[in-house]
Amino acid sequence: MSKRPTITQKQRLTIVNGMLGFVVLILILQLWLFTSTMESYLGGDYVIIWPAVFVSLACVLLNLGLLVYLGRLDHTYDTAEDARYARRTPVDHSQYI
Amino acid sequence: MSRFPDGKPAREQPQWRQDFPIDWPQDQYVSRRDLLKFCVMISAGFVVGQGWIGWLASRATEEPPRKHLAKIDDIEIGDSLLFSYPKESDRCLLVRLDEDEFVAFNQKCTHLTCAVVPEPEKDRFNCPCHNGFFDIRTGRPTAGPPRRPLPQIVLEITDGDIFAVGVDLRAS
Repeated sequence: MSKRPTITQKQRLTIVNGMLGFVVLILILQLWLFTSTMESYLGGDYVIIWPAVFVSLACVLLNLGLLVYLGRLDHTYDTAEDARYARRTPVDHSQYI
Repeated sequence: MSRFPDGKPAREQPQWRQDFPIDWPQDQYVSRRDLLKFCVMISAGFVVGQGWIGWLASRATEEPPRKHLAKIDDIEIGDSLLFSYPKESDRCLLVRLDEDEFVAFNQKCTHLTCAVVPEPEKDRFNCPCHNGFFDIRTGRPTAGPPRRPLPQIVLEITDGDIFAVGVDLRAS
């Protein structure tokens, strides 16, 4: 039976940073989409509104997928000791400031 | 507490801070994960906003009414008439440019909805709020911050009477 791959804390941090950058880019895209849709609506051009809604929905589903993956990521640990440590010790956030 | 605001050790803090220790750095800390969740929530908010615009657009399918505005002889060349069309809250301007030339536009500036003022002698509408100008014949912005043209009211002239019969919204 194959062993589930483990990810170190440093690798998790890198993945989270990458996810955050990607999500922010998607958010900027959605902001542009929203302002364009509003401009078109105010100008009486209703053709692009619903396609823009579906594209925005696809973007949010992508973001949700990343969030779900992040949740799964939190359940992988380098070693069993690492998992026990994470459960017992409160996280010292000052190292990330 | 992880860190006191003034940076001094615990024993040098005033009594009230020792009695009510609020760990502000801990309290204000936002992890990357929390930021990610917040961004996804904002993303969902955008979808809701666009869905709302789609709903508004689907409601705007009513036929505009036919409204009598004035008789041709009631308006001199270079004069204008204020009226409401299609709803009472939609204030519009009818301007007589020439013997046979009438134009009508919505009075709301497309920048920030200030009321535009007709200046037929200069062939333009002037928005005094932010110095926006529109061409008096086409309603298209010629200067200033407005980017979209004024919605044009479709006119029909029959037997000396002027009627408003529709609204031509234009994106550009």
